[in-house]
Amino acid sequence: MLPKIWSLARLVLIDGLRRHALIGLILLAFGLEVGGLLFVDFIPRDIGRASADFILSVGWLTGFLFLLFHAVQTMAWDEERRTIHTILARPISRSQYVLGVFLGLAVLLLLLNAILAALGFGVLVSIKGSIKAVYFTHLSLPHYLLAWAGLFCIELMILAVILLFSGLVRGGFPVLLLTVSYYFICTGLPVVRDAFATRFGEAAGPLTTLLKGLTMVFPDFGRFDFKALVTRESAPAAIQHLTTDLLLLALYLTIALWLAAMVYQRRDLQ
Amino acid sequence: MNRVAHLLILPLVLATYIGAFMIQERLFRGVVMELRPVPSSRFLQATAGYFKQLAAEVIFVQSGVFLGGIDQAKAKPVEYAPTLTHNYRQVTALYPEFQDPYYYTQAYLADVGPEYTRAANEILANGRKAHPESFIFPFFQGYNHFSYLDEPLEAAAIFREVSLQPKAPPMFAHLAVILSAEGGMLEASIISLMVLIKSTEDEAVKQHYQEEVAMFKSALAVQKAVNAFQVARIRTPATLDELVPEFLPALPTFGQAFELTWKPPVVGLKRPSRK
Amino acid sequence: MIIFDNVWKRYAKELFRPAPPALQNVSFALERGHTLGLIGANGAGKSTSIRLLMDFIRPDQGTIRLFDRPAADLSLRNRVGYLPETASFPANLTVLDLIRFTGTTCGMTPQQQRERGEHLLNELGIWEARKKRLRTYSKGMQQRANFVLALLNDPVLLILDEPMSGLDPLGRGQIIDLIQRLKNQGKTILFCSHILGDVDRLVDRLLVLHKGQVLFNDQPGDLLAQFGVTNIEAAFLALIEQQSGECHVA
Repeated sequence: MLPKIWSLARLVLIDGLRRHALIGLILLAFGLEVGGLLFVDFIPRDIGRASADFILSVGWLTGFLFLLFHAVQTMAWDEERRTIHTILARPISRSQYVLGVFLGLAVLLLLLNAILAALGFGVLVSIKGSIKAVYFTHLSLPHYLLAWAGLFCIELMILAVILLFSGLVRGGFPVLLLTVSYYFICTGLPVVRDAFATRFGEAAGPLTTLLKGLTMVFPDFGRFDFKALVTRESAPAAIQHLTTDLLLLALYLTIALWLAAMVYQRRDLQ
Repeated sequence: MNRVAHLLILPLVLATYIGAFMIQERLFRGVVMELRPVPSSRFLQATAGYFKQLAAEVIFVQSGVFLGGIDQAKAKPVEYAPTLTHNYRQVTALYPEFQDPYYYTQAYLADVGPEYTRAANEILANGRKAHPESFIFPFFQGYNHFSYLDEPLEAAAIFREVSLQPKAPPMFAHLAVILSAEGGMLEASIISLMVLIKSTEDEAVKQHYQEEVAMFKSALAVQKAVNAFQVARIRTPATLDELVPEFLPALPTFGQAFELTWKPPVVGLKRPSRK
Repeated sequence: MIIFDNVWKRYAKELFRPAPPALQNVSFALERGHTLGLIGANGAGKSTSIRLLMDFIRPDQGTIRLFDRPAADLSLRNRVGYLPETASFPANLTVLDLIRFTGTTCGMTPQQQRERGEHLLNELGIWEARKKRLRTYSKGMQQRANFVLALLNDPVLLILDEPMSGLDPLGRGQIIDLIQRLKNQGKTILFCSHILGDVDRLVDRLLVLHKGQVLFNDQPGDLLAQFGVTNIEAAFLALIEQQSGECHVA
């Protein structure tokens, strides 16, 4: 089973690497990251924090563009151009197809993030070296990598959901709209929960439970946002928090991909 | 279209475009950048998502560009203070860890008027929560209370709270004492000074504190004289001079260190430079 | 080898009106070593039948069995070579990438993939272009690349969907020769085409579909004899006309 999944993932990976669009994304991101050198000129004091935020935000933007315009299109083109028939004509199940495509796109995403993380760290070191220590007191490599790992986790969750949506609806544009809606629900739900908690406290009862349940489906991406740790000397995040986050990620991916595989298993591939 | 048409029409269109652009540039030359109120922090958080920190930084930069662009001689802070206050509230709610907005709040809002000083203190409260180890934000709050709002007791409470933090500079405890005295809490100030004397190892500082204790005790005697006057005359004295000589041999003087204040029914001690 | 038994297939309902069934009670069989030609007009149900055989879509009613197993059985694909109607590859891949993928999923060793791939690429005349991206191939080259992939695992059963589609006469001739060679090797072949003259030359049995129904399922000679004509096109047209006439009377 694994060789088949990997052989398909390899196809997705090679196809993605050969697309000039990925190179374009990296160049865009690098240009923006270098632009961060100008952006920090506008920040009087908290330069370290602002720089780290900028670098990781650029990474997120690039990853999100990749998800919306490459991942969504890969799934849509497979069906529109009937590439999926060429693949499924071989002894590879639809579940293996889902996993293979996910793995290929995940590896591409990992490469993209790794390159941008390396470039971004170079930019941060450059900024730190060019200003007084009081404005950029600390730059922690382990925490920086943790922040990128958190970003990658968010991207993986969205990727899994894209695969699920691609199975449920036909066409790249509807999947793109659904993905964007999903993202905004994920970012908006914590705000709604917070607003309810502030206004009603524990009295909200069933509504609070409903919102909590919705958060299981539309996860709070803020829990994977470790940007604030990059400029901190010591991280208060306990091992327990990280372990819980990773467990949640693994389970969420498993459920989303399982559902996607079930959808693909049942539906006609016209 | 033949080549001649291309050679004639295209330059004409380009020239027209450049002309229109120059006219537009001239029209917009004198336009000053406006400071617009930003959406609420909840909306920004919901829409910006992972970008929320960057969104806060961009809003801050916009405010900085605005403040850097206004003519300080002609500017009326009270005109832009409401929008600035709103924007900094949203920025600090959205990204409490980002420090620069607190500094700009203190620099550009605290001295506009009492309403904005209080708003600045509310904003600084976010900073204190996000940076509990920082002494700068509580210092700003305390300063705003005693300098702009004439609320020395509130300032003293903040400084006292901060003085209890580990590694707090000794000046916070002393400031709390001085401001308590200004607010009329002379007995409490004396006790606090005695605690400071015990906890200080520097003999010169101890000597200084002991001198201050003596001065505070003198001021306390004046307060007691006021209380006696009130009992005897069923009113508070119009001025402290009324206490002399019946209730007090003479009003104490404190040289350059302090001067007595009288805000009926409270006697206080204030630094002369704070007139 | 193939048993298609009382199969019905209706696609999703169109807005405000039910979609007509794509296949209505279609049954046919294909024995080992034989060649079956599937012909019909556009929308007759040829591609639907092939997609059902390949388990890309599922029947609403009826059963489909290949090698005595359900069509959904994954292990069957090792013995089946499929040629899609339109060459559809991920844009930036080469035929070598797809050979590797096909070989790995079919359980071939890398050496087997190399040897078999080289043989087929040479046989089909695209060896020189093996490292070029498939999107740079001409239509004919893409079709031949498809054949390489379909034949890589030396399948027992070949399912070819419009193998001559979009080819020039030279290309068509080459593909016809290839199919003939495969037939001579004892492969079981099912292919659909609307170039009826080519079908006539190659098939042992003919299946004519029209609006999702089977109109004819027998040897080509019998169809010619039924209408007293000498070519398949005339026989096909006569059959359709007869069917239309029966519908009007009904």
